[in-house]
Amino acid sequence: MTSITSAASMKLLDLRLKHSSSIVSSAIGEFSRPDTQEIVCLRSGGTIDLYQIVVSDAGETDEDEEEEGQTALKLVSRLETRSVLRSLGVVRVSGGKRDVVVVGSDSGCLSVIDFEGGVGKVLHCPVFGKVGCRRDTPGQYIATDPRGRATMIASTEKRKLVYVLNRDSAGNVTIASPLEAHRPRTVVFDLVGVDNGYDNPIFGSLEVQYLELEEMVEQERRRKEERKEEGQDEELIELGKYGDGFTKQLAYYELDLGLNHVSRRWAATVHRSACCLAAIPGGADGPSGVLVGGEDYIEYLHEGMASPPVTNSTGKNHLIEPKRLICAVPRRELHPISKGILITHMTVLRQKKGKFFALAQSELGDVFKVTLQMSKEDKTVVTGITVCLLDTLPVGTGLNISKLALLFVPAEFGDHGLYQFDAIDIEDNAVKCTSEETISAFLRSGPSKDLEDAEGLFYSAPQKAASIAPTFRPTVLRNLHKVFSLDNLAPITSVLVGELAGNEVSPQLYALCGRGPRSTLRILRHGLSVTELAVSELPGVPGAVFNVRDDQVAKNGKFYDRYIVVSFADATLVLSVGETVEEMGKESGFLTTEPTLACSALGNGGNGERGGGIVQVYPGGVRHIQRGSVSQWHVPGIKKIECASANESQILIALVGGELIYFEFDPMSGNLTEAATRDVGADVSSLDVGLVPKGKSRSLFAAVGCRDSTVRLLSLAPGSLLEQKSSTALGTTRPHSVALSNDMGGDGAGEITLTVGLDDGSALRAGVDAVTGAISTSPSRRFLGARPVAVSRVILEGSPSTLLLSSRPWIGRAGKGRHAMAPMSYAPLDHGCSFSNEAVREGIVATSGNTLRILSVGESGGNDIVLGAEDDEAFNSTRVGLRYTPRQMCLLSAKITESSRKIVLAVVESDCNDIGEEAKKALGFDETGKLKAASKKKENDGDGMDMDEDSDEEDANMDEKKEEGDDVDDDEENDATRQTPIRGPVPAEPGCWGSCVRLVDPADGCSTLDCVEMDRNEAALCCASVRFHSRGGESLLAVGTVTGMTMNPLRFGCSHVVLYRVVNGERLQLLHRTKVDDGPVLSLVHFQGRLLVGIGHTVRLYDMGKRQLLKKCELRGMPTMVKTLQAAGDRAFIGDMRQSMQFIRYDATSNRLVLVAKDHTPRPITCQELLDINTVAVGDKFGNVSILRLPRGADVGAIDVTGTRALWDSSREDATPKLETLCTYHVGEVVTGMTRASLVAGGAESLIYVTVTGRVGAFVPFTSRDDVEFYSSLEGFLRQDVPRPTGRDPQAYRSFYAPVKHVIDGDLCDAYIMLPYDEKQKIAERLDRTVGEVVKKLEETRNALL
Amino acid sequence: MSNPGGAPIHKDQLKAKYIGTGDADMSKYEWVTNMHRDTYASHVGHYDQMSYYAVAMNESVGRTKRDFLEKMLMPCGRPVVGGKEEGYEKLLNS
Repeated sequence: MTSITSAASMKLLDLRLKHSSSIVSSAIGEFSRPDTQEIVCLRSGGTIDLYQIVVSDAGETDEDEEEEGQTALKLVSRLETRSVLRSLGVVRVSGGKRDVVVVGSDSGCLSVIDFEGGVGKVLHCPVFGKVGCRRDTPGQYIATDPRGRATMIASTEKRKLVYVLNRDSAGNVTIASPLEAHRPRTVVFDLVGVDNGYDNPIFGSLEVQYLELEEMVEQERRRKEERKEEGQDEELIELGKYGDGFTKQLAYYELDLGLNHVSRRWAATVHRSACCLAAIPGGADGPSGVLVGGEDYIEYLHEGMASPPVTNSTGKNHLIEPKRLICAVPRRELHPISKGILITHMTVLRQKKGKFFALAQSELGDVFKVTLQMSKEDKTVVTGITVCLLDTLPVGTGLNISKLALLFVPAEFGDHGLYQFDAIDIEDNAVKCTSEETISAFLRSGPSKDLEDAEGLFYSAPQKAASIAPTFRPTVLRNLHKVFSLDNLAPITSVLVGELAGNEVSPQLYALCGRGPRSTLRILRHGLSVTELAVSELPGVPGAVFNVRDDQVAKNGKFYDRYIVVSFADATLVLSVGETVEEMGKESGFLTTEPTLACSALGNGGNGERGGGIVQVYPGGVRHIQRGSVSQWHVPGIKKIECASANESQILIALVGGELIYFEFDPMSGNLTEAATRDVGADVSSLDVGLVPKGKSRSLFAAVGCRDSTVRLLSLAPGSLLEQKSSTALGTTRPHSVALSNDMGGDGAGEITLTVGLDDGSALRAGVDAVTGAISTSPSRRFLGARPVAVSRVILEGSPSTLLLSSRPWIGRAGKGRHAMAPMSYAPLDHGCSFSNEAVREGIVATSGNTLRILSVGESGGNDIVLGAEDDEAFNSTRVGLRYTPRQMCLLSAKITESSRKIVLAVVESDCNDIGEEAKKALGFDETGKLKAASKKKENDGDGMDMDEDSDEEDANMDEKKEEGDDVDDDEENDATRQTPIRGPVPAEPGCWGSCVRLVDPADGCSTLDCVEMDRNEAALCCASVRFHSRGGESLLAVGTVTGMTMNPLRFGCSHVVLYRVVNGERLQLLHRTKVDDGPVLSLVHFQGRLLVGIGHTVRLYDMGKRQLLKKCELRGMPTMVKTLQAAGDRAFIGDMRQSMQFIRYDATSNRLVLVAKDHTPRPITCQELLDINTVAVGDKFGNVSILRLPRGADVGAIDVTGTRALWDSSREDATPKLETLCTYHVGEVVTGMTRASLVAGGAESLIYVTVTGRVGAFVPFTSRDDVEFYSSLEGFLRQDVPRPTGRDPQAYRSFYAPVKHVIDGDLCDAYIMLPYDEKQKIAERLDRTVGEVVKKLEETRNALL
Repeated sequence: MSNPGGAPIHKDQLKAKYIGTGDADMSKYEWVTNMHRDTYASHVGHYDQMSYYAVAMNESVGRTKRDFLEKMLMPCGRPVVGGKEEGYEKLLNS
């Protein structure tokens, strides 16, 4: 890392490796074209994604032909906004057939975005306020009128603005100037557009107004006096509960279209704990009104609604006041009755005319179906609500129901899911509760003088709700099944990079992800995942492999492969591809006693044309096999063919010495004719004639790689056969293989790309002008591996790609504007070519050693980041299930025998507000929902392995699960389990924890070796590997724990440092526990053969004793609490919870810890990483990353070598040296982990970081002044020219809390690729470069990292 | 401070328009309350921070958000009436 810090002015480039994957808000609508439902998602980190729901036909599935077809989400469009996205609304402006998106962000603008044709375009971006997530700047909530006439944007407090939307005569959406609907001192909880047909638009707001300070003081004074009179202390009611002095209201704000004015029209008191709103269809479609979801209840309210008549036990009709309907929500079994269950979001689906239902999700993940009963006489009068349990899903941030009976739930944490409804009319069988039951329970509760008061009291007591609502036990999915899942890493709590698997080329990224029972340890590998479909042994080591296409067109108009031809040193093996792969003998017509240099099927096939047969090129000549008859062309003299290339109509061969002979297939006669010869004057090492473009009869160019280190491009056009069009010199290396590929442009013109595999293990890629044949002057070159690179064309997702084989297999593909390249996560391959048959549409046949393999790229589930489709780097992940939220991990080197050691990974997991595994089992809870089989499961293993199995199966067995899900109704004994574990029972009182320490073997796919459950509310929060010098340097695991901690206010029972030894590299053995009492232990670090522990605001140095740790020295008085600790030499670096970094030093002579320096900016540190002994990178809670350095010579005075202490301590505020801030950068998401690592073996190091919302990024140090200048000026231009979908200035965003310093925004620079061509040209000119050079530079920077 | 025309703007007017405006006579309670309200509003606005807190407390993001909004109503407890000293102490401990 010297390169990061040694440069005089340190500059870093922030590169994104993986987009943040959590979804802030989502909505479904028809955005790109009418009648195509799409989902628009706001992602944290400032991207707006548009996903299309793709339902492929049954025939398209790869594995199971009888399956109903695959449903998937496909990314259509992605907009980078570089702002904090907060709210989303969908509006179909009257007169339109498509929906437009309105987005609220931190920019103080409302942006109206149209995704016509899948391309995001900002229609309007009116500015209304200051920038930032302020209390009084609208942007937090957006509601739209269901009839598309207006939209309201509100802030958390006070301000609401209404924009009237319309269309001008040309049909363009227009937006009027805003109308104010402010209400002072009003906190808004949710906002919704009420549907009331074509009357004036109404917006419903859930809000609370607090008192002005003077009134509040006055009120308090009165209360105090009353208390004095009564002479007793009044018990304080918790905020948010009934009786805390505030009333929550549902208020209607009416936009009077005639007067162009907004007024607060109506308001009604709702349940104190209410949290979310949903609008019920109105006008001709329904009764209108609003559903309000709160703790334990769902209410229905509407202005002027009739009171529902309720019959009580005495038989008298009562009218309930105030006019509203209220219905309890079914409760989970085992849920403490003292705790309410909050409904956190609701959505309404309009079915056909007049029919609709709502879905509501609780904070535990249970999804309820809410239906309204209307009176028979008057369809606008609601008489009752029914709430019934639909299913239990992961807790989401929204519910999106598509017309295709699909439900998309973007999960708060863990993978997002797309579910298919199996049943929706579930009222009869499901667990349900009705408003009638609820209201009669209220009436039974006894007479009271003040009805409203009594009602509020009644509905605010969770115990009452528990007495009404039926209970259920969450089980397997009954009415839904999962059809697709979208990867979501959030929350990542920690990251570690290293080659720990032991047998792989490049390091893996270990990330601790997820929360609670859905937590996983994910191992991310750069590259595409590969599915191995078949492996077979060959008699020898092959020299080449080819595919020969069938001359018969398959049913769907595609060609499948007929033969696989494997060439050996002195023989050729022909395999016929059918139901099975069989070896063919002489009957194929091939010459099997010679190696094959090239072969291909001839003729375009189809169109009634005769098949052209097959051509085989062997060293002695060319063999044309046609319907049994064989014609041959022999090489004249004793020359041999050195290499050859063939396509459907052209064959080019090169003889020893550099003579080229060109043959062409005549479709009329069906014969091959020798068309031209030419001597290139140098030995030819490789040839490629390219592909015949669709609709053409020949490829116009051939590429020839010569041993004189040139690649030449020859013309194959009839007039100028074998004329040299251009050439490129390769310097000192020679070409090993060449390939020409046609990247089909959208307009069909196509671009030709020349890829050259070089002898030195790198690959060169250059564009070729499709008309003149000129090779572009700025080819990009990338090192791929230690072996000469073999290049061949393959098809990936229907688009042409290149397969590059070196010591690692790679795939290259032209993505959106950028060429993407990624390794395949597979063993090295020697030769390969594309392969396609009925079962494998887009496969690769390849050889490795003496085996033949058929592979397909990408996971079978289709849930994989496809190369180039998203502008992420391709990572594939394997995951291992964990039991609780993982907190920290560390590596341990465990001794197995005297000589051998093994690296193991220790993970500490803990969940607050949860109970331990044993306690859960004792309550009879099973997170898999597999109740009947629970006893069977217990026998298998008791150490939590059951979860690992489930999560492994998650993707692979999806299809199988689907079937099982269907059967569940018939057969309750079925062995169905949940794919996603359910959150267990919640403890009734605060300060309950579930926690464990786990030992994982990274060499064995991260299987769990041992898992020690902590009991008695003890939570393991941190871990470290420590080698006590006093104990022979064995690597021990130290775990910091705290018992019974509550966070707000911070209280805890006691805290411990627990020491474990790893026995035989597979088991944890408890050595001893040491009680520490100054605060919770949040960080530990090995420090000069001892253990440095951060305990509350104390750091303490411990040595190991026989029965407990021995305190050596301590330093008290850290500002708040020690959050992170690292050590280097005699220095330790302390990250404080609120007050940024403190550097301390250990003074061995006087055995004390001395404060050396501190930071002058208060930063709530979340993570830190040491860059060198003077420099540390820190992430804070606000999403900033800063690099801090100790000024030169600052620590000299801290320790006095003479041993005499100064009378005053250097920890005195003004005397302590302050740290310099070298870099500051706003990532935009809370950075939770940083590590210094290189992602390729032997590559330069960079600072890898992860965020709580699932982003993975890297800070790359610049290596040259030129790069710094290039990137700084490119960034400067882009700051001006880049589109701003939300109107946010990119520079201001990156300077959210502190001005950006010495960090260049790589995301912004990458946006260059997406600019229109003339803008690219303009910027490139100002940079004194060509567009190609700029793009190449951007690619190279990325390539250097990965 | 004055209007473009030169007419002075009254302090109360300013306070009503721009929430959180302070003045020399502002009580500590008022200042702290404002500060807390701003902080909560900012937390609620940043989804990443919300999920950070939600993970820490093991609650759903929805509940965390609602709780934070509720806390905006009275972030620092009830105002302290009576002796100035007493109020100051109570604030420090809250």
